[in-house]
Amino acid sequence: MSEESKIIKEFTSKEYEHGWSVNLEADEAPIGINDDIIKFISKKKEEPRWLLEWRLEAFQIFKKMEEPDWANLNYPKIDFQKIKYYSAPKQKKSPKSLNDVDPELIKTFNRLGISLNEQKKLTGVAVDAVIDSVSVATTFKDKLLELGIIFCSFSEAVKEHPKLVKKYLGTVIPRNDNYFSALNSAVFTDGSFCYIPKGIRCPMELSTYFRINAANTGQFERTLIIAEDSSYVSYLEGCTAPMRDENQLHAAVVEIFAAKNAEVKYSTVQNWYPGDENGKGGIYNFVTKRGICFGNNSKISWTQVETGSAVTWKYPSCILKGDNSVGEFYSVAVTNNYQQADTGSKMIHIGKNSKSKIISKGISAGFSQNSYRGQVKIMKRAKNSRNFSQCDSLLLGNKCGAHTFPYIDVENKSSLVEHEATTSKIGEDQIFYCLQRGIDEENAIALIVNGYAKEVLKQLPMEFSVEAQKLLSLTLEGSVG
Amino acid sequence: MFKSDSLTLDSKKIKDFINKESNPFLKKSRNNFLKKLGEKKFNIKEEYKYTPLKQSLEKKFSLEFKIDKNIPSNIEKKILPYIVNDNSVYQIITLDGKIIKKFSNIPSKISFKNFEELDKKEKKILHQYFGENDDSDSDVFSALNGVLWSKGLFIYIKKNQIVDNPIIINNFYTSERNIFSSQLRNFIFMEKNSKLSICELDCALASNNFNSNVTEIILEERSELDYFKIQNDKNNSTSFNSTNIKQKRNSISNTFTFSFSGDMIRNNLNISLIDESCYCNMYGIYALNDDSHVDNHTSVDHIQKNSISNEHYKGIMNGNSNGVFNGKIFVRKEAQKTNAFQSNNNIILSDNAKINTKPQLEIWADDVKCSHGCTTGQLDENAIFYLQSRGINKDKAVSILINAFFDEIIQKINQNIIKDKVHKILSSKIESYLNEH
Repeated sequence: MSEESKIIKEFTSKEYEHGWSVNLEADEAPIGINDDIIKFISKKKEEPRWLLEWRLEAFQIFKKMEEPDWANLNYPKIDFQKIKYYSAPKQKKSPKSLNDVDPELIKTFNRLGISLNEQKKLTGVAVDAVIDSVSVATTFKDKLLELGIIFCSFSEAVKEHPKLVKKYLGTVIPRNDNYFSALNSAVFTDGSFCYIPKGIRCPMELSTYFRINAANTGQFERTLIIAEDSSYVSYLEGCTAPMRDENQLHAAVVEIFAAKNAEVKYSTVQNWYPGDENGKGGIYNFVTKRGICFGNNSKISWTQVETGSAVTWKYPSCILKGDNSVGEFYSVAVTNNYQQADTGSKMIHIGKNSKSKIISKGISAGFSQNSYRGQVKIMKRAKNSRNFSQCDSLLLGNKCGAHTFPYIDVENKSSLVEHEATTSKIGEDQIFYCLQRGIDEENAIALIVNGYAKEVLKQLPMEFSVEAQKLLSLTLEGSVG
Repeated sequence: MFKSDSLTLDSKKIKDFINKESNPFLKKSRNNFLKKLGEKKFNIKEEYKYTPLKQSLEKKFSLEFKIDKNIPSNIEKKILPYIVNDNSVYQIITLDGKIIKKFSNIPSKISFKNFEELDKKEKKILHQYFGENDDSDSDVFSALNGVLWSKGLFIYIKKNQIVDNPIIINNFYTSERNIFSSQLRNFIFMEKNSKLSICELDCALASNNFNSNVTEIILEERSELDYFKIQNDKNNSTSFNSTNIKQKRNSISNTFTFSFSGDMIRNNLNISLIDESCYCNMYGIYALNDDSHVDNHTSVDHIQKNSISNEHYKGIMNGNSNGVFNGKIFVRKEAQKTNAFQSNNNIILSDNAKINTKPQLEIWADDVKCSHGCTTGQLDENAIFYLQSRGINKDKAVSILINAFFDEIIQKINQNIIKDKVHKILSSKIESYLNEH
């Protein structure tokens, strides 16, 4: 038992390695939110009039809504007037190539291990990097453009492809969808935009890195991915933030639109600062992610590895509108110290023969609370549709909690829905088996946890899979010793 | 004045009603519940998410607070067919909660009474435990029942007492279209090493009856209770039930909830395992058609270590019926070495039927084995084909499969007379399914 508690203690006391901040000169908006701030943001971004009006309407909607309290989360009320809604690293002019980018910025990303340097083509990943509120660099743009793929920052897309943005913005997640999507719609500052034309298979992984750098700042990015008929794209997202004592708000919106026969794979490794071991500081992560399989035979797959944030509120969802469409959700959520996660997925079956799969693995340690919350809804016309859900929880120590809240609603007689969940700790017999074969206890735990999460990790694209496994083994490193 | 989405109470009339209570203890208890009604924030939105209170209650019932006392004249005639002449059961007939002694055969050694008839010792037990074990903190109807209940049964099984035959209780209700008339509250107290089987059947004598029942059950060390509820009322009745069991060390409870018919039924079953090494089984069947709506909310709370809970609910929905299942399992920090298992299987037979299910696990202890599973599907075409290819016609094949589906639960019934009863109702139910197809 003492050995076990030692391991748990070391595991829970591991530090956050991305906890540094860089002194970047920033261009900031005053604290608080009102119509003028929104106008300020819109003006800064040189946005067309329709978008400003769209934002202002969203703010009206936001003001009428109430903060949701149904999640199994406990955090002090957020004062939305104490947050800075716009902060941009100062750049003299928008960079044409990487040589024009602030070297301090390049250093930041090198520390994060992200290759912004186009020389490193070997990595073969196109990156759009977002610091605080704005996108600072996008790589491989020209090469992608040859295929007709648009991959750029959201503000650039507003300027250069306004028709596309106007057509799809807010169609998957309307402004009045929920409290945080309304807020995001009013004050979003940047994000990534991605358009894959008909019949094109994107030859490389597209990737966005988000980083919050400035203090007291909220980050509100917006991502829009449009996959036209018979196209394919794999999209990655990573996030980090410096260690600060106060809580910072991150409220993003991700919308995915998949047309006929299109396939979109969206992977996230979320590693926001989780707060210190006493639960001080950390990011409040309130994210709305949703994709619509609009056309027949389309497919959207979400994979997430959640290790960071003090509070996570996130339910990547699929609306399976097209016949034979497929939705998938794979998740590993690790909570530690005083972290709280309320995460899961929603699968709304509308089209015939639609299929969905949910695999969720939760690991809780320390004093953390880890909840799975999901919904599978089979509408009346979704004949012969199929869902399988599995949500497992692993508990390390007896001060943490694991919770499962699945909602299953079936409205026709030809569909099949299965759900299963288990909660347990690492079996003594499993550890004993490893010990017996000469594997020490720490490595045995690492082995078992890795095996436990493998089903999800193997869904990640190669580049990310390596990072995620590293992240997981780093978290486990504390327990080895 | 208490107000919720669907109920408005006139506080003056309620106060008058409470003031008429002659027992000072119960008067105080009613006032406590009234206080709860006013102060607690009931999460109606989540707890009654799939049971639309507003439209069904407001449309059908008078919300005016009155307790009617008019008992229809030809009651006896209506009750007689329900009386079983069987020496292997004890039968109790109640009319709006009042025990009709003429039709009941309770052995004198069992304390089985209405609240007005208690002796000194029974009163002592009542005062010690009554009103403390229900779910009135979270359920608005239980709190309402605590204020307004008119009659109730008091069952007290003494130390080492084994009740040899099952007790079958037929509850008859006479009121019509009034939410406040049939509010009953039962109390069961089982001392150490005692054993009891009890089966409740509800029957409304008037159409559009609303009844609300709250039952508090306390199981002392090593006691064992089988508790059956059979709901097969064809008179469009609406029924809100809350059964609350508190278990002490090494006690065993087996609860069975069978819902076959009724306009709207809500069953809350809350079991709290407050001591070590408790064991509880919760079984349920809901076989619905037409416009029936059945909502089963169960919760089992593991508070101390080494307890086992096992839950299995199965349902078939046909016609426009709607089934709701919400099963909660809580495992508290101290409840190490808990085994908790939950399973819910559903079959939908028609495109207008619906099922909403939410199995829910909340766990704070690490050395536990907890799992839940939940499926929704239909009868296996291949199995039907297999039977047909062996010369069994389709109707018979369907009937075999449905019987097999429920058999897993029916086999757990250890009282033959109750098993037969359930079998009989189920067979007629399957017949009605086949006629509809």
